Amino acid sequence: MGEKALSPLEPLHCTVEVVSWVTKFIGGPGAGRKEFEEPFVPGETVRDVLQRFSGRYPELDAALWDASKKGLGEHIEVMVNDAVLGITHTLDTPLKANDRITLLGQYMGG
Amino acid sequence: MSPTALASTKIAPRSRAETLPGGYAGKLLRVNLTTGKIWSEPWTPEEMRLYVGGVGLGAKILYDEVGPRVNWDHRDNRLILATGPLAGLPVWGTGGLTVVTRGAMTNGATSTQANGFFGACLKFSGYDAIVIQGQAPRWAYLYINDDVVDLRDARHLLGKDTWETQDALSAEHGLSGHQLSVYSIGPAGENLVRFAAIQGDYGHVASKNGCGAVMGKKRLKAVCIVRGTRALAAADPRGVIQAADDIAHDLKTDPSARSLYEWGTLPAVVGLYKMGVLPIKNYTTNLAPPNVNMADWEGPKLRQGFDHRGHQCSACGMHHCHMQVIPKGKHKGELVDEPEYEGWSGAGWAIGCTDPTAVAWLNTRIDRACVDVNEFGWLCGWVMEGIEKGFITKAQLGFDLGWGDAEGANRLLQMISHRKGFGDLLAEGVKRAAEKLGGAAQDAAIYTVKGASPRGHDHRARWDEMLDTCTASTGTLESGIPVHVTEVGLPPRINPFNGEEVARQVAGILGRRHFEDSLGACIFTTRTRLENMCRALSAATGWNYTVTESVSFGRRTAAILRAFNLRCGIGPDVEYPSKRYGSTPTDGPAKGQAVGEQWEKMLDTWYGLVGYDRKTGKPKPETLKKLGLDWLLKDLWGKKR
Repeated sequence: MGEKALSPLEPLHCTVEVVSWVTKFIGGPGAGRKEFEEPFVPGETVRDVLQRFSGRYPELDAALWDASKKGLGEHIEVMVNDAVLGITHTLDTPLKANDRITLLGQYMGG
Repeated sequence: MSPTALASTKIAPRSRAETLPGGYAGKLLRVNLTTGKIWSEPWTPEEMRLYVGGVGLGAKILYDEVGPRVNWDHRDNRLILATGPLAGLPVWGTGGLTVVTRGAMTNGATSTQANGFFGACLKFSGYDAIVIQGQAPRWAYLYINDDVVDLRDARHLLGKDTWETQDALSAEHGLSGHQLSVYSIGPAGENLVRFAAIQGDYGHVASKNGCGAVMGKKRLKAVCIVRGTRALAAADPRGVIQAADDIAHDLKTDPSARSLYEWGTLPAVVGLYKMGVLPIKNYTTNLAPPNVNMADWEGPKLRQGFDHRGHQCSACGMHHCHMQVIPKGKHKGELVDEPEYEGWSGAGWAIGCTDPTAVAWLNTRIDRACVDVNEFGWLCGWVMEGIEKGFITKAQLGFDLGWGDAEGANRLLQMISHRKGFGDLLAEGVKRAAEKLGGAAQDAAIYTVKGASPRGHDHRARWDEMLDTCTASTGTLESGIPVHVTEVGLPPRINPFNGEEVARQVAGILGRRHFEDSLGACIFTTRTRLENMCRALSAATGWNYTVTESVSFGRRTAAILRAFNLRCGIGPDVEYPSKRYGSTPTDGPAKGQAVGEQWEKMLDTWYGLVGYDRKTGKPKPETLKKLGLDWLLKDLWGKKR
């Protein structure tokens, strides 16, 4: 499939999906999911988009990042295109159009 | 003394010694079922500081009193029902019970927990633990009401499931609810099903390693404790309240715990599905059927699909445990306990059942017959796959059993619980049944070579728990992931498919669960920082108990349990997953991630970091010395060092 030629500054879009109890941190009910179309410019990374996104939601920002704000905190999983970080993407991997970032809480059974 | 009593003891009340730490009753209740002798035994403040309670205390008693020739079904095996120093205090979820024994699945050490009111009732009766030995000449139940302790005739309870047993004893004693805690076995335990469990207070199950089979072998149907009248003092009551408030605040607000606070373990179904960790149809896929909308499996949907009410344990403010009513179908109107995640998994997804109503019903049948829901899931899913693929025939089984058939699964459960027909083989658990059938049947079975039953996840996408399950000495897990791992110096997150990182994390957190399981508190209310738990323990006891001491305590307990297992002949040669359990997912989020390729390296790393010898499995001499376990040196290494 041919792709539309883009100028370097034309924004692309990816999806940020916030799932289940993590929705609480963005004013949601703590269940279900919320999806956001997030613009980015070529070369921007998973980290760039997530920092911009979480910057709009202080509670999420506090939960997602560690104290230095450079690394992720302990309890929210980040997946890109349904794979955990470390498989196809790290925080510093540039995104492609239509990539999907998922923010998912850690769970335990019982 | 009751007219039906087999044996009775009026135990003289003991005045609280001035040196006794707060939070402790100060006595162990000893019961010899063979002779009917019942007595109490003090334990010292020094022992309390060293072994705390729960699994810490149980591990030491097990090591000291159960020799290598005392197998799980030997009358000299001990069944230790222990609580801890926080039980009965106003810290959330402190009705905790830890069962320690030599269990039937691994024929090794066991530590398995349940809650409800047992721990609080036991403490209010004046005991920190019950240590049961021997075998009753006829079926009995243990009745405790402060200083009156009886072994009573239980023949009228035989054949009753766990809920019927509790109903009967409540009626017999005219007490119910918080006033009477009853933990019992069901038909499965009576018939020595190898993965039988012990259930109490309508829905709380100590399920691991066949502890119910041990209780059945002892011909002990139930333990029944009236909420006692003994005072329970904390060294610093205000400090306990402050720590309890901080723990509650943490559970309500911290990202690691707030979903547990609101919905218990329900949200795990959808969350773990997205990670490829939800086990589906005996690990044959990681994808939900096309007709299933995962949005229907969100936590709130699962809860709100039923009439429900809270069913909290002692002093608990979590919105976790619930009772619910079956809303439709053949079993409409039946009261069931809301399944934990493990129930949705073992009574549901693992056997291809995706009707929440059917899963909720079957889950309670499992609790009432009283077997481990994880092992039942692996076993039933394996039989269903066997019928589909032909390695088990309908003629062998006696009926047809297809994926998702909850009524058929209950029929299988009853066959197993009563050891009827093919159920007699299945009652040995999936490992032994599969080894007997061999070939394709063995290849399809989910188990650990050691015999421990994996938790209700697809561990092929959760390598930390697979490593923990295979190396643990308890019949289940002995780490505690996920918790605040940075608290003990570990990185906040790892690549879950990097064996080196996984092994470092599991090794780094070894023993945390033992600390939690020694406090008399629920694992779901200890999802806070160790610092908070140590503050609560310090305020309760009057000690200055540090995080460092808690880590050392957990590792000390792990080393004692490992030494016990090694003495039983359980070593590194069995620390492997079965072929299916250690296989590579063929679809879903973890597709292609091969744990088997990294397993040996993971073990190498884990052994190096926990300070155990890779070849023999023994804690190294320097590890023992560091943990203050010099007394184990001679036993493990044959000479004084």
